[in-house]
Amino acid sequence: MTRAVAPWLDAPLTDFVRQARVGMAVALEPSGRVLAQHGFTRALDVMAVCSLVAAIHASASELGRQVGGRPFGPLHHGASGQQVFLAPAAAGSGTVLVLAVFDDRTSLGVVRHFFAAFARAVATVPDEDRATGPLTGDFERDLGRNLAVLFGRA
Amino acid sequence: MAPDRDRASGRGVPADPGGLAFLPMVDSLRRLGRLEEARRVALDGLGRHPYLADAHDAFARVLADQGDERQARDEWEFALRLDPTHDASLKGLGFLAYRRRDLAAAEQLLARALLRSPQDDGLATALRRLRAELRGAGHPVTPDRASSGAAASPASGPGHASGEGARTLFAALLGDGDRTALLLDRDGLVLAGAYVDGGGNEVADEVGAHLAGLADEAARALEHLGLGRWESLLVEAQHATVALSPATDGAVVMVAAARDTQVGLVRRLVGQARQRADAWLGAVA
Amino acid sequence: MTALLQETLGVLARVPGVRAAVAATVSDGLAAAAVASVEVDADTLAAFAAALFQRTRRANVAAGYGDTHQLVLDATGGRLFVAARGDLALVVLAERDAGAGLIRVALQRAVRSA
Repeated sequence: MTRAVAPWLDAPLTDFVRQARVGMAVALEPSGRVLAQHGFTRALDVMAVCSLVAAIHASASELGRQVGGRPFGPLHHGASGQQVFLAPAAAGSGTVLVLAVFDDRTSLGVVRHFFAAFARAVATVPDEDRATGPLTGDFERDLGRNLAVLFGRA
Repeated sequence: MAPDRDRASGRGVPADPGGLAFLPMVDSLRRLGRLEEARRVALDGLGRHPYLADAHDAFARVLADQGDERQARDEWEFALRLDPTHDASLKGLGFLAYRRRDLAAAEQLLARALLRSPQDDGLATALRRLRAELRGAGHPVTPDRASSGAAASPASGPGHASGEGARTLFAALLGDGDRTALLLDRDGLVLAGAYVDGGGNEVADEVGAHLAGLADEAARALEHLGLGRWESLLVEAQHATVALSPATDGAVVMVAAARDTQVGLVRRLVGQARQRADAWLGAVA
Repeated sequence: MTALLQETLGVLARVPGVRAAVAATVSDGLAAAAVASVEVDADTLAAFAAALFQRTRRANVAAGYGDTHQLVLDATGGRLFVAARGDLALVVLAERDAGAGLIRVALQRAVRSA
């Protein structure tokens, strides 16, 4: 099930996961702060994944600016068993990054299609709605509470 | 209890952190009532095996023990998405349905599980009791193919809907060629028709389970392409031509014919089989 | 390769009643080339047609019918044809009343030449 510390992401991420048939997904801020997750079972996994995703996104964005003046778009890595899809979506005046992990029960084309629907859904969320919730406070103070919510221990 | 204690203490399982030893350990901890420990072990195993239906099942059992039925249901449903034939998850969902007194849903789920595990005596007994309860409440019950090997008649159905009648529903339509037809419910369970392979084995359940999912996939494609409702799906494969068509109440009619059968004939047959199926479903409703 | 595909798709698109012809990868569901009328989203067509074909291919293998060559999905709003060789699928979206026989034969020929 989807667990979100940002309530405005709960429905869009749940829809994305179910319709695209991805196994795991995490939504985060570009800073690496986790907003919602589906399918991860350990807090440490999510924290590590978010750090890596934020770093990849920052690197790819900067690389895109250096070579073409614009940040790169979605990123896809395929392997024999599992694949990952990483893409940014505009949410009001901010950005949400989504990492999805999937296997051959779905395909990159289908994942991209439903990510576009996810992006449309979060694009219209007003900034005041996004600003509510436990993430607005101090990150360190909120981290434990957020992880508890994400793993159903709140 | 002794074996449980051994397992739970780690003496009964191999030291294999990447393996599946956590599954019996979760079970043992649950039986001992050590639910928080069971939950931790299950979560740890699930983290290492996120695509293993058994791991989701183990976690779901702990959640059900802890009274978190909503998340238990999510985990069992996820396990079934990973493996639609996962009988333990069918049993789990059946158990939850029974607990919330949705007897009809419980009966369907347990009947599907029994189809997968016909040797499970405990399950067969539970299903018999459940059906007795259902009959007492005046509900129809799912035809039981697991024990009889053929579709049995609904308890109060009309004469022509008998088990043998269901098996031969499409016989007159198909003629003498190498053709077969099945009527499947929305879960891929056989409602009518028969399918015997070249070796004389009844393979209707297996073929039906594999092909019924195509109906959902077809509907999904059409929904996102804006093409309306599906009417038929005709598939030319290496060894057969297969046609599917939607019938009443989410059921699906399937016709399979030898590869040398004319494609147009297969399409026509599935249309006729659909009409016959709709009439039959109307009669047994 | 792309020029040949484009030519193949052009031939398919000229069959009466065809609204779009798309070449896609079966495994990824991504469009490689397309000839489509403006109202058809080739990416969406590629994604869902490939997904249906992939699922059908697996079901047929599991049911003992062997590899899948072609499928035709008839719907109230149109007809979808998919034929594949290896990981390359050719997808045709046609009007509901388009001639299935003609498109089927054209698709078989196209998949052999693609």
